[in-house]
Amino acid sequence: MNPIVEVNRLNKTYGKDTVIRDVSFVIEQNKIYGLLGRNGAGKTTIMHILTAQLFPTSGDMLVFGEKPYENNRVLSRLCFIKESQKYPDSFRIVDVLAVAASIYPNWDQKYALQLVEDFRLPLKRRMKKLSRGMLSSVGVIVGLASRAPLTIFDEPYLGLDAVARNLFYEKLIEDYAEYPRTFILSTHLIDEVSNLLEHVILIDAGKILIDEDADEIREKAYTAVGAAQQVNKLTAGKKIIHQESIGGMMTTTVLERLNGAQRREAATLGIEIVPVSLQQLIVHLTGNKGNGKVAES
Amino acid sequence: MNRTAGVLKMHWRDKWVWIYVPWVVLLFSFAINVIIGVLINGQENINSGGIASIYVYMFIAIAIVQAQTFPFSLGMNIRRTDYFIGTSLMCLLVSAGSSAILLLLSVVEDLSDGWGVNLGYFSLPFMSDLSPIARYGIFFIVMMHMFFLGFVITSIHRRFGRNGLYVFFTVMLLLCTIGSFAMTYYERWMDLFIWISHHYLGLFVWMIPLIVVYALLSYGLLRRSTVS
Repeated sequence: MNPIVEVNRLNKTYGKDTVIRDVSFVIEQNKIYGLLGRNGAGKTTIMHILTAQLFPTSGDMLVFGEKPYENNRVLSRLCFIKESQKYPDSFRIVDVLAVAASIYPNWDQKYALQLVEDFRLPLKRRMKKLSRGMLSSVGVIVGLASRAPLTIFDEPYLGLDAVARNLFYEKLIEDYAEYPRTFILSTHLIDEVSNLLEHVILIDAGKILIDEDADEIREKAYTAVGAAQQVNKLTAGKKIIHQESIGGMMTTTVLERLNGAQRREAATLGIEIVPVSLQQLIVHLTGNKGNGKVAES
Repeated sequence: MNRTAGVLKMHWRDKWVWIYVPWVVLLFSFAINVIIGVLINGQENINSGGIASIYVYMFIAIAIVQAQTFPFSLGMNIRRTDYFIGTSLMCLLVSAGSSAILLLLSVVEDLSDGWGVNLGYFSLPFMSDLSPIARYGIFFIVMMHMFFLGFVITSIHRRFGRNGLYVFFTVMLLLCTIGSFAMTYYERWMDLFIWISHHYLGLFVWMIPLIVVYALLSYGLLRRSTVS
């Protein structure tokens, strides 16, 4: 229990639009967090506020125990990589790395160059001429090689192909094991990162829906697979998120924690219990149907 | 780790915009003037005023530099204060360096009788009686003034967006119109010109407090600026 970020009742409004509504959460040291939510949910705004690039309308927050605004003790321990980062026109990849090297206290130049090779980036090419994927790769490299105690990635994979994305996950886990630090990943590619995440904060329409350990969340629901008749028997009267049947087989996802008795019942009915993917759960929770409302089946 | 140094290094990597381009522009314009001087065999004195090109360039350059490097710097988690100090230092260094070269060229120009063709390019007509230090001071102050004028205008844009600039320029235009109308109405234009012709050196001195005002305004505006 070592909180490095404490956010308390944060609000952000633009005129009449409320983007962030009474958001409170805590980020603990040396964990990988997922900040998940749909487009426009307020993920990027929260991260901009955390790094003092935007100002909150109300509420307060502490990062490493202090206010981040114009505070080098906080900012020098942060690295925020965002998808919308702009670079000076004349800058090449090598210039960006050189500036990063002179700014981030824990910068590892050897590691950065190794990553450049792994991601096959042309060091001397101008940032302006890079493809979307290459631009994202540069961000990923700066984020990893900065070794900042709090590293925040906002949609780091935009335009990255599957190979590069896997490389990113691999490198992140590898480097995290060697140099433990705190990561916040924001993404909507939930399935791909779900194995990485230790804690999930789910935001929808500026409010926090879920703030729990990833394992806890996975146990919130289960999927039953088996003969249609038996499955219906088991899931009767429960909150069904998703249901599909092929022939006599039925797959039903239920929003409920499975207890021992039910597990035994399922076993005697010949039903297989499968864990639900984080993505399915989140799609359900943030879908237009509304929270926890029973799906029409 | 001193992050102001990081900002300075960032600017230093862009030598084209800060150093090479302004001198290419200036020397190109100078070369044309020399050619004209040679063509007319130095029979007439040329006071071209082409030296202004480097000053106009610096005014525009700082606007472009700030528009591109401020979002980048904040993205790299640099404090706004460090960005401001680092960028101001860069302006100071470039002004100091450029002014030294301008001074050198103006001295050479005087010694060579206008490059042998009676060309007055770096040494302005009123400068003939001035000491090298005063000349250097004028080159330096005017350049700093151009930098910070550009800086404060771009900072208004950064803080208040396009509408902020519209309001700013509308107000400036109004003030100038009222001022010039008043000057005409009270028939004071001649007095102003006479005053300037006697006190033009004072104008350069008055740029110093202006630079300070621009700098303070820019800093205040940037402190409240955001990027997204």
